[in-house]
Amino acid sequence: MELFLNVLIGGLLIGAIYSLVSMGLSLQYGVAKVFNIAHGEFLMIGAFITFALQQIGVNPLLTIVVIAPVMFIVGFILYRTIFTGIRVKSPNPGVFESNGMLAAFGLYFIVQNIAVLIWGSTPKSYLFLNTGINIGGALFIENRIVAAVFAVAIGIIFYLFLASTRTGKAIRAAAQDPATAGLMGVNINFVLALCFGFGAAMAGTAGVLISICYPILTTMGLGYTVIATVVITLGGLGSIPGSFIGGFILGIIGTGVAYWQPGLAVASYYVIFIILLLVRPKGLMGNQ
Amino acid sequence: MHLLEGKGVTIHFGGLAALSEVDFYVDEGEVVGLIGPNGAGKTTLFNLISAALQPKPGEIMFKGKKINGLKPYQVCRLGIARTFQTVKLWGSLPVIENVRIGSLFGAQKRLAVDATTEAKELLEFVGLSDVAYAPAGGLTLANQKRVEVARALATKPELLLLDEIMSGLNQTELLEAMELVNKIHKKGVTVVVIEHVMKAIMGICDRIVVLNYGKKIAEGTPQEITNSEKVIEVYLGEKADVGS
Amino acid sequence: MNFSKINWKQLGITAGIPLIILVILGFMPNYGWDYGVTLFSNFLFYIIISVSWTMFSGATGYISLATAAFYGIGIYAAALYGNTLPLYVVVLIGGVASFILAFIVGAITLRLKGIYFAMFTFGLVLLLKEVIFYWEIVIEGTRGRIVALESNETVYYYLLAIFVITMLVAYIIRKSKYGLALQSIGENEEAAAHTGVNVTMTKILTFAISAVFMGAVGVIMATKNTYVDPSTAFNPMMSFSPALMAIFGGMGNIYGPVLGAVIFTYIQEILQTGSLKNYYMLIFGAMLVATILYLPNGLMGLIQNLWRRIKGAKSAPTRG
Repeated sequence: MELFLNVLIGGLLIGAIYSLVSMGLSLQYGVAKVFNIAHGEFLMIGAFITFALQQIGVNPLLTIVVIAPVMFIVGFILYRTIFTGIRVKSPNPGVFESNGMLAAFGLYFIVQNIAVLIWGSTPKSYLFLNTGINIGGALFIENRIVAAVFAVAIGIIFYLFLASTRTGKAIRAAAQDPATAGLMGVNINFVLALCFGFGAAMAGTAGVLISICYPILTTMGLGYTVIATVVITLGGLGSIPGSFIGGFILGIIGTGVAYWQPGLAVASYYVIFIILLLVRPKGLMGNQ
Repeated sequence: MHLLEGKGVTIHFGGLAALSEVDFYVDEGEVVGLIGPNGAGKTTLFNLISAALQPKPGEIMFKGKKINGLKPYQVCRLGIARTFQTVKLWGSLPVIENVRIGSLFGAQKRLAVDATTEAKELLEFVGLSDVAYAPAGGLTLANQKRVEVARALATKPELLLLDEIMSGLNQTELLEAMELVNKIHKKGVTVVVIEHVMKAIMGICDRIVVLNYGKKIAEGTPQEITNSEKVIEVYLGEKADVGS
Repeated sequence: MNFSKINWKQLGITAGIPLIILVILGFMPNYGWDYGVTLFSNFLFYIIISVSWTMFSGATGYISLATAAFYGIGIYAAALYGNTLPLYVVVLIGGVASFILAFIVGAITLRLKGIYFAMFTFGLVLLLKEVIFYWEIVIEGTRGRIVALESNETVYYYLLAIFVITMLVAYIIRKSKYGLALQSIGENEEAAAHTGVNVTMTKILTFAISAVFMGAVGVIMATKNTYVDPSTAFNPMMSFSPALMAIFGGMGNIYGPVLGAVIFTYIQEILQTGSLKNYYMLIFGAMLVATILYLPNGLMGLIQNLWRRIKGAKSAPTRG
């Protein structure tokens, strides 16, 4: 029983983080059509800034208030400058997808290089809410629960934003059919940049939450980008609720595999990836 | 045995039935017209025949053998070729290369064929010999449609599906296109045409199939279709064109 | 190939010049210029992976981020067999193993839209790194391996041989009907499928063939660096570099990637020995972004444009 709870609850806790990261990537690819290879790097920067601020006494949870807007603005500006520039010059959407992805790949190296220059290559960590909480006989550290709660809360807030505000509806329209949305009066360039910015903000915030629980490395980003990639495929490309659910599923599977054979987690994600591509590429809730 | 036959062909997009229980057939040597208002499912039917999509449920048979489940390139090599409503040429390649690719890959019996010679002959057949080496993307729309026809013919089809090759043409070009279909027919190729230009359809087809909202609503000779009340209802306002 | 159709004069020029260059390169180690041998080894290495990457990704537009994976397989082939089998056998093993992996990856992903292929190849490097890391630690109990060192000359000659084969294969594919098929897939895949091209198999085979050369050079480079472990063998930079070099050089013809590879290898040499050593990832990343934005047809494309303007021709370029 204890093992079951460890895997289930532990999986949900890390799954919440995966959901947040993946929703960000889903916004960036599903709506803004950029497969952002540098997504994990925004996460990493969020984690490291939190660490740096924590060293001078700032409460990590408070850092979210700083990181989220800053990352949003950075993402927004990047999209308006680089990616819109690429989109304008691309003869068709397929070329934009390829070129956008490659530009993001370039961004990945730029951000990585900067981070390594500032913070080096060794792991960093700090203690925060380090006490244990007992749930049904299984022991969990408080920081993981707090992080998960924040991640889910952000997910819910964003879902409400999508469902009930005008901008949210514009995003949903752009996700379904950008051309028609544009004809209906939606400022497509602005909305797509918004989505990219939101995606970056989510990544940065996830980075803050991760730094609360685990040690951080300047090379940590790629792993999360790969996980987010599998999650958005599982959830269905273009479906934000799908990536939310998919994150939890992958969290549970990953935790289960880690208990059995730590070090094969990524392999297990790829097994899922392969099965998806062979059997149901459009994922759980995909509409493409 | 019909050359091409469809039984109970159905397909849904989302919740909507794009085609619903359509039965049809095409016999060797015919020129069949496929008409209907926009959204009736005409191009979708072509997509199902050429295997771009799969009917669910339904059966499509070519020369007696079931062809749903095959891939597009297999259907092409079996002897069914098509053109597209929105022209799909390889714009940066010369016109002759566009056609050569058809010769090189499309025919089932790929003997030691000289693809270049074939391509030149076909370009002459459709009247495009003087632009053979121009990039296909630079041609007028009317000429691009002819390249598509030449490319389709290069795959040595027994059945040719033409999707609105007459839309956007002026009077002269229209007559030339009708003449082209006739020439193709005389070559021994069975043809199915989707068209909105009523005069053309009535002029070249032996038989016409009418679709509306995914269902077949009428079938018959041009005379019968012109006088069919069902069809007239569906085409309210176009009565002036029909039969002129 | 129809021999009566070959333009012998054109062939003489296109083949003659490279042949002369080849002869010069072939005698390189005899000039006593050791640094030149290592420099040119690097040139050849990057040319090989850039040209092979372009073979598939340049023609079809399906962006592969798996170069590092095949390269890493080559490295590990050397690690496993380099001490027991002759080098040319190990090179074959590396090439064949990469072919098989690429074929499987292609079979899974190339039936679907291009983004799935990109996503899958992107994570492949991380997957292989972790799997081999796991296997080393848990199953073998080792951490990293040593590969027998080969002399700079051997490395150079092997790279030269692989380079020649790669260029020949690239040229033959491009000029053959499969090159046409690939181009047609790249420009309009649906039309290609309906014109009788077996698009899926063409893509899978071309991808697998391109992987052979990446695996082969992996074997050779392992004998140069001698110490291998999962992190050094499976490095995303190795997926990035060929893309950067090919795009910068221009993917319209087979010399574009060569040009890009030579230029960037040289830039890399300068950067890595200078004060900007720690900035080279940043500079390369920025250069790719700039290239995509401002030089979409690459250097070759720019040169071709200028040449045409000089000649005063008005027609659009055909892919050569």
